[in-house]
Amino acid sequence: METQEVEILLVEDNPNDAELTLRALKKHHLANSLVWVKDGAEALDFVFARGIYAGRSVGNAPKVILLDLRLPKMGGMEVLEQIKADERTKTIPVVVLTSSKEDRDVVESYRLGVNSFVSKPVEFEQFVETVSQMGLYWLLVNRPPSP
Amino acid sequence: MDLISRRSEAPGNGSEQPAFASSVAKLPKVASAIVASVSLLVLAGWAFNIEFLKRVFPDAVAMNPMTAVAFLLSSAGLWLYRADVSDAPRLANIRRTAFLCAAAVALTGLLMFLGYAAGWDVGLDRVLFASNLATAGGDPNIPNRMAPNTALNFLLAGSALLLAGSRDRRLGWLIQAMLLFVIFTSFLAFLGHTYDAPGLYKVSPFIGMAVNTAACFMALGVGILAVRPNQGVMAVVASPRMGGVAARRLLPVAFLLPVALGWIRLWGQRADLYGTEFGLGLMTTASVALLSMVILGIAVSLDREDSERGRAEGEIRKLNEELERRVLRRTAQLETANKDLEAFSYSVSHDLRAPLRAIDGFSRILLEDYSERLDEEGRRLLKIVGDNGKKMGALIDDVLSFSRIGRREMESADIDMNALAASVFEELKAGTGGRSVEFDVEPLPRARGDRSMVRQALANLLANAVKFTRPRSEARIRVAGRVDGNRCFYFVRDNGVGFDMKYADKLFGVFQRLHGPDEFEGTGVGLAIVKRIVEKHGGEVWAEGEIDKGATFYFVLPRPAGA
Repeated sequence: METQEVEILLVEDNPNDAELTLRALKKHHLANSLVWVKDGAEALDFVFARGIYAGRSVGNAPKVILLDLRLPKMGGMEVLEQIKADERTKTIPVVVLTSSKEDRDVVESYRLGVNSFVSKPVEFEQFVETVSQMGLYWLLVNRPPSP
Repeated sequence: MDLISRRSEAPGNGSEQPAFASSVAKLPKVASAIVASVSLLVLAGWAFNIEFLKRVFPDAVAMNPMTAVAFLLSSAGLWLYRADVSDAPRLANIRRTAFLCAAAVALTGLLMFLGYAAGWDVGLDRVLFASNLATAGGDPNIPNRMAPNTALNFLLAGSALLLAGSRDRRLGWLIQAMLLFVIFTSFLAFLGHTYDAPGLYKVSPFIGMAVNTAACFMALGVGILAVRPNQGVMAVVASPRMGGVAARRLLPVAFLLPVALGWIRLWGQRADLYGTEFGLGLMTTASVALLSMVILGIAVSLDREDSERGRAEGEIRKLNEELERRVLRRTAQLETANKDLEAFSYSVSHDLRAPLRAIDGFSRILLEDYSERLDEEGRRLLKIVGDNGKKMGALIDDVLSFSRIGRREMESADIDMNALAASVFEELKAGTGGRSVEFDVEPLPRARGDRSMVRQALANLLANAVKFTRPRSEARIRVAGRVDGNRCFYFVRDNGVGFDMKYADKLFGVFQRLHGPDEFEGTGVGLAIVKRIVEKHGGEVWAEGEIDKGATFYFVLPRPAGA
């Protein structure tokens, strides 16, 4: 299927939130190679090159995964756990990007090995600011391990 | 004795124990009153030559006037001993008088007794009514005097009264022994009179103890014993437990039954109905039979009470178990409710924010991308949509943090309130927009509590102070505190717009606001959070203010243990 390099995997079930996120990233031209999946199962299929993503290779990892926690079929925590439990995928940076501000979500995410935890602000300007900063950092500032 | 026997007829169940204890407490005064009245009657008998008052039985020994005086002194000593006065100097005076009375009694007894032992006539007992005494002995050959056994009993009873205040256990036993000796020798003398056996009340060739003297000694002995109701014999008799109940029921029988039977036996023997051996056999059989019946009767009633008590205990145990089960059930229900609440607030925190973000976000996008196609009014209306979305977001955040504080486990640490106030203010300064805000923190005592909670409370109070001083060109905020006992008092004072004291109780309610959103922004949760945090620490919070003169918020936190 596709073999081109993917920089961002956005796991988000809410199309409005996805659109706002895309808009914020686009302002800084960070959304050129972004894949958007709408549930946890699809996210894992993508990462582990299964199902409709069988043509991909697991080694062709995204630079960062933006992961919502409340997802249909399979929750974000479970996705995070499986990615971090697999030797092939545990080095992929995962950022939890969620509405939640609950302490237990933060603690549980870090326990499972998340690389960053970001709460989505309700206010649009702050939201744009937060998402773009995050995109800039993970795509331009951060240096991931070479595949 | 009479009080004890009256009480002993009542069942010894729990509700009556205090009544019994209080009647034991009254014994000294009752005994004192009996002794005083008998001796006054005797003195009256001497003064007006009424023979019955002096000797009760015709031709019996009369009570010596000095004996009556010694009884009066003993009675005064015993009465004053139990005097209930709270005024310390007066109490000391009364105690001294009681001590002097007891000492005079013991000394009289000692002098008279030594006089008898040494064959020396002290003459103390012939001071009063001297002219009447010579022919009033009972035995016409002996003038009326204080008997040697009476003198000894005064020595013992007086000493016992002198020592009754001591808390020494061994002295306690000595006092008991002396008083029991007094009681039983007078009992013997009393029997001597009722059975007409002079050997029981007199030591020949001296005069004997009078019958009213014997009765007074018994009353006096019991009265002094009851001064310390928690010691020795009295403790056993006054005990609210089964042993005490049995003692109170058996003792009167043990005293009265042999006296009565002995008297009947003697009467029959003297009337020549039977001989000594026959009478003795009759009396022994009657004693055994009657005592057995009494003991069996008491045993049956004690058994019944014991089994009732057992049943009551069983019921209490059953009630306790039921209560425990109910507590467990209620706890489980509460835990379920709490979990539901947690799940609710978790989903509120997740799911309610997303639509708000969309409302704010897309109205802003509309403004950005289509602004040339919207007129002024259209832009204004869209801005209202966005603003309300933001406001709803703030409300949700505040309500969630308010409910989170209620559920949160507290951590306890010593808190440097000065550092906390300084760091909170540093954060707030960023939002003052260059206003002149004078921030004055006096040295604050350290508090004990959950650092992040206390920080939030202080931050809310200081943020309010900053907010409500906004109209002032020179805002002044002062924080101070002091220690009082094991609590620390703090206050945050500002020179802002203040508030009307008639709304003071509404300040700390959730969503309660005293200003409109166009005056000062806010959700009305900040002070409710402060109150919840402070109350979780076992403290309290209150406010004072006046419109346009500023406000002061006080709060109390626990003080660190070692400070």
